[in-house]
Amino acid sequence: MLILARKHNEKIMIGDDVEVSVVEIKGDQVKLGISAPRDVKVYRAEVYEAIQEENRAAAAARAIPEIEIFSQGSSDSSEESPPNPAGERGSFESSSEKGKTSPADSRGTTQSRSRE
Amino acid sequence: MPSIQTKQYGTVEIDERQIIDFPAGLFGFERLCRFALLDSHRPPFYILQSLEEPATAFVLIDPMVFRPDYTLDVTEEDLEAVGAEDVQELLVFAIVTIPDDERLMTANLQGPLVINRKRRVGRQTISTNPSWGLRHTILEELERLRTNAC
Repeated sequence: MLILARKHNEKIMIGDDVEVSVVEIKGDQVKLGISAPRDVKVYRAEVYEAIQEENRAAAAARAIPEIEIFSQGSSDSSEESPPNPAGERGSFESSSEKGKTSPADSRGTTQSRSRE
Repeated sequence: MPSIQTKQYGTVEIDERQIIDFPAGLFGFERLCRFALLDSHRPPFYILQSLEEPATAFVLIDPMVFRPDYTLDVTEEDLEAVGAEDVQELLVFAIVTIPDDERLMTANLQGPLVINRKRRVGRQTISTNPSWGLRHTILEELERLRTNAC
């Protein structure tokens, strides 16, 4: 691991387009400013660990909820239909035609990200 | 048609097109790389069943069902990992966590799954948008949606 000593307001570069600056040092806390292209994701390491833990909690679930999410008016909640894991309503590829319950067609979005 | 062992439904036959590769696994489950995407008994839930470990399965939901304002936040790296050129090629799911009181079930919008629908390759991504957290209570947000709609 590369270790660099930096003072207040000093910076380091990671590659050509990621800049990390020491914005504030106060007691045992350091504030860092990070400038990076939109495409580079920056997150605290704890986020990664939290998602790992959440996945483990999700895998521990015993069953699918018995709750009807669409309590009314959902034409396609045929409760009595047999389990249909093989997806006769359409293979995975065609599932986008099912309307309400179809997996999201993702939307490219732009969002402002403030990092400093 | 291959038949597989599932956590929820015993042995079931699936179509090969339901098999999804997750080359990097999921966070915390890096060893598991092959899954089948199944319809559950109960729409709008889906099941992501590990083919390598029948006891491991995840309940999934399309985030748009309860958060129509959901926005995906993927990088070039994410797209490349699933062999997609554009977000339009992706399916998006949130993993659902179901506690003992299932009315409190939550969906993880911070770590969504994206799947290239043609190549059937998936990846768990991390959203850096602070609007999307680890635990969105699905029923609560649906309720809010209904209230606002009127």
